[in-house]
Amino acid sequence: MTSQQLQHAENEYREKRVLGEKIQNYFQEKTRDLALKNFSRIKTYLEAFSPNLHHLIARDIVFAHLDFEPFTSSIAKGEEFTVVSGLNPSSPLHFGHKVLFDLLLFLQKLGATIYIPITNDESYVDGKVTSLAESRRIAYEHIIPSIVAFDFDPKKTKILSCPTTRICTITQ
Amino acid sequence: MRVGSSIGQNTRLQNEEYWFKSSSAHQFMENKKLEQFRRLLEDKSLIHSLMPSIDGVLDVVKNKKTIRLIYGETYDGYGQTLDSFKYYFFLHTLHSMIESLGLHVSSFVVIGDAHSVKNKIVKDKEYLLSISESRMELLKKIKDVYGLKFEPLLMTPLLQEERFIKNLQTVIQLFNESLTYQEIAKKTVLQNRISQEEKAGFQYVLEEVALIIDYDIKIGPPRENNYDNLAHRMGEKVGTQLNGIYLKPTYPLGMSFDFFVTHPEIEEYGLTPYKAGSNKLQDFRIIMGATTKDRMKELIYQSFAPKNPMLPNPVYDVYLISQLAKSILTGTKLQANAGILNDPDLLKDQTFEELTNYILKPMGS
Repeated sequence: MTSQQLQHAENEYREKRVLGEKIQNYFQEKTRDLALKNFSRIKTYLEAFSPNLHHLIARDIVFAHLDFEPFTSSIAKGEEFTVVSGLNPSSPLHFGHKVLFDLLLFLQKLGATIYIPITNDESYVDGKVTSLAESRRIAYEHIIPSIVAFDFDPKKTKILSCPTTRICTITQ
Repeated sequence: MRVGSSIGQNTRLQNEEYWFKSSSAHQFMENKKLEQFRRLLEDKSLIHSLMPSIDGVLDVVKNKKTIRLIYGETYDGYGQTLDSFKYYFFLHTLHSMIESLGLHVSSFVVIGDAHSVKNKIVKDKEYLLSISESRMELLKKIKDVYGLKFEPLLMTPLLQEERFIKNLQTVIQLFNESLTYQEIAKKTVLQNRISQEEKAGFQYVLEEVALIIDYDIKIGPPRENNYDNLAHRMGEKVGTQLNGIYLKPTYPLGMSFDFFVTHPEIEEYGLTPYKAGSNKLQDFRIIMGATTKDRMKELIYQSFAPKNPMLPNPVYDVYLISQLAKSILTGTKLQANAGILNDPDLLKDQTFEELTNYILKPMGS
């Protein structure tokens, strides 16, 4: 390695370290500001309980929680619990959504029934789409088929959406 | 040839004998034993922390010719816990190790009958006082079965001894003169009981300190560090130096991992080892003569037994107690294998087997 290459590697290492610290500070700040709790304590126990821990938890991408402790009792006893997490259908799913659905899949394997509200009405009200029909189309043509492709357990998954402006139904 | 060989051997033996008696050999052996002692104090599977430090405890052993050790316990109406055995066995092990350094050692286990009923919320005071003798008898039986080197003492007569009365007067005087001591005393009681203790003049704490202040080493659970810290600091004023060795916390058996997630205070401090009803978890403890063997098995096999040594592991604690018992009964070195944590099923099998062989059978349970 030439001295120039060495210098370049050193600079890159320094930059990454600074960036790493910034990211860490950001998450610490968020945890503090939102009065959350660090997830590391629960992670240590989950690791001991279920050795094949999901990479999102193993790699600290799940960094904080709020009152998740009681759900560990359901996980330990194999009892059902429910998780809700949804999205506004303003465009097809992008790669970032995968993080959320991977985590939901992991929680489902631990016993959770997953509720996924697809809030097409909210997309319209928020001005993310120009019409309610557009958000409905995105939900039914793109979002819901993509979620189905994640291979959730159909018996333990409820996808909620509003097919009309007034009545909401549950799609299994 | 045979004669020559015999003479040669004798000469070698004489040389070895001379070598062992020489001061450098003696020093070598002493250093080796001190190193073993240090290793015991550094054993993280057994020891939680020390007050003030490992070197503090080692200094006491290096600088004194007579060492006094103490372990004290109160009790409730549920019976004798297996967890107390860990303290009896450790006290004995500590005693033997210090004795092997050529020091004179006296060890005491105090049954705190008076302090078992001191707290206002204790309801069955008369009953608890009435069973103090049977607690002493059981302790003597444990001592006899394992040949333990300590003297069992009951607290009530100790409180009437001149030594204690004199110590108490000194402790009260020091306490009244120092805001620092008063602040430390407050740490020994729960937040919601501070005003109650203030009204009582912190009598419980000060009696405890007066009882232990002139001992060299006290062993106990981590929570007792606050009492001992007060005794250590006050001791500096009166020329004594109490050191503390705290064993790892006691945890309930038969619980899954979520119990510890949802009870952070138990995760940190554990249960009171000598009180079976600590945190109302008497059904999840091994109580001698009360918990059936089948229930013990059930408790062990249903317990959370993590591979991570940093997490609470009640099964490993029972394994360790059984290993201490085995080491004392067979006169062998303590052979606790921390590697067994990596195989929770094997840990549970061995724990139940060793518990049966080295505690239940010898105790006739």
